[in-house]
Amino acid sequence: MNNFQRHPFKKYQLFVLFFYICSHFCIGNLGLIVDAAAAAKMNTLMVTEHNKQFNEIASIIENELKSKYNVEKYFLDENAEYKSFEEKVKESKPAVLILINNPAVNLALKYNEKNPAINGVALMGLNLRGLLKGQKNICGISFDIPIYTLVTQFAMLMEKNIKKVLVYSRDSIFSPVTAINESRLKTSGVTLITKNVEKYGKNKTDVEKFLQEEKKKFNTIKNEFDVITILLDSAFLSPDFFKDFWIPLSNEAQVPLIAGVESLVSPQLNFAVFGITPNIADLGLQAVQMITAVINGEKAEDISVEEPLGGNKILNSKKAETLSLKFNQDKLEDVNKL
Amino acid sequence: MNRFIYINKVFCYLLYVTLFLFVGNIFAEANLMVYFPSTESPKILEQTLKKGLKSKDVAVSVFAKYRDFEQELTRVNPDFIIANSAFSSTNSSYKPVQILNGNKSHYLVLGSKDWKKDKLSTARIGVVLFGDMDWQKRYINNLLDVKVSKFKFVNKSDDLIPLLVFDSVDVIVVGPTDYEKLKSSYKNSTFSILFKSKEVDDLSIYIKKDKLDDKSVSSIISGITNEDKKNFFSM
Repeated sequence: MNNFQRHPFKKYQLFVLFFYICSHFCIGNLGLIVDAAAAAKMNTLMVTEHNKQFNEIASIIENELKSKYNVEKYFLDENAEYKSFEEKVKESKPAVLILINNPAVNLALKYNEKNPAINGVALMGLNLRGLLKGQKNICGISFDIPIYTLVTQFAMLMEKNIKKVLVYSRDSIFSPVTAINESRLKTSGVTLITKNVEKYGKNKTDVEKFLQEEKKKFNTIKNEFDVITILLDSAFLSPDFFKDFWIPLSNEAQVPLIAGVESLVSPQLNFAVFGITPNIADLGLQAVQMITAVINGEKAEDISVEEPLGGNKILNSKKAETLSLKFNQDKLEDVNKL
Repeated sequence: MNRFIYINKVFCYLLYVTLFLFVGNIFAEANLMVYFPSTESPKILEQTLKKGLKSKDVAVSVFAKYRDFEQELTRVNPDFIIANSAFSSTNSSYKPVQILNGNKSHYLVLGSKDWKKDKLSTARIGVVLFGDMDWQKRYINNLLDVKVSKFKFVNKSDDLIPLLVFDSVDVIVVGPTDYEKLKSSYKNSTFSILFKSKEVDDLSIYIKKDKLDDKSVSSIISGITNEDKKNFFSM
């Protein structure tokens, strides 16, 4: 007779003991298992600023990514220092940096110069394409609404066909932008004519000389062009140029002006008639797909810089009335009339 | 199918929902959500439906963007949903009610005329998001009978043509009604129908599973007159 036969209950006791040990092991390690699962998720580091619009974008991106990745946020203040940013990146070791607005992009570019480069996805306004030129590790989405989108969306609202569009441009900076939009609009049967304000040179006086000549043609522009689109060029939209050139153009040319920024379409200014501003939800969805692609191994340099899709349409009703524009009423349903 | 007919179609579903409520006398108050990813304005559609709805006890909300619909679906947990056939694959809490057998449609693949179908497996496809992204990739691949890995999702069909024009995708996939709308909006754009997907069910009514059992559904459906069905199918 062995020991178990002498004491039959011991088998049961051993089983209880085994079960007790196993369950304690599992419960004790449950926290570790959960932690391990979280640790197994790749890190992403979102670098942004406290700003209502940026917070909304950040929140959409975080909600979409959090089931698959850890999303850590790093907020930049006015005194954002490179050193603390660098420390944060080294501590976080992110699979991708999510860079919202110019300061974040600039810090990431500096980091990649000094360290083994980290992949990044940038979202910012002016000249992202220029800033990321030659960059192998950072791709992004520009906030600027493309001329193509502005013109085609405006054309859909109008009863009259839009055939010829004018844009004033500083070609030394914006010629790639106007060239690409010219070819895109061509596919929709629209001709984009670019007038280079630097025709006589890049100095302010040279530009002013060109604009003086152009002002003499204001009363004939109407016969030649259906729409004038405005490039968001802070230098060419400076208060001086705005007062001396843009306002007289808006008042005298009698051609609708369109722009990718709400402030220029406000009825108080009574300047542009139509505009589109980026839609945060659409931008968020676009960004999430780009971030996921980069994490999954697509090369940032192959993705490059994308234009924002969609947007919120705005119409300055007062200006539209002044210009006696006629619209397809059923197309105005999703336009915000100011 | 023009816009008027399509709105009418959704409106007819709404009448069926009213019939469910009336014949079945199930709910004192009910919630109906319509998920309608199209170029139509959800606000306008919602107003039209509310005006036409006889029972004031039904709260109607219409969504064109999947993420908005998904968020509200979790929050409100409505009794009825009108959505496309894909909804049943993503949500098991609702039962599709098969009163409209035979009503099928296709998705259309659009691109430039010289684009060939045999390149589809390496193509970048643009499509409106109407489900979880990974799930939708499998769904579209199944519909097109191909294995494509590169997708670009947008929130609304208006954004599909710019995707093509910006060269962010090679082809786009749209519903038949959206094709008509896009064609009229982008008159001069040079895209054409390359081919059609497999057939899919059109819009369906979905009912929360714990609200009705199979027997109740059958008895309610049998209570709908043949005349009603005839009117519906003529849409």
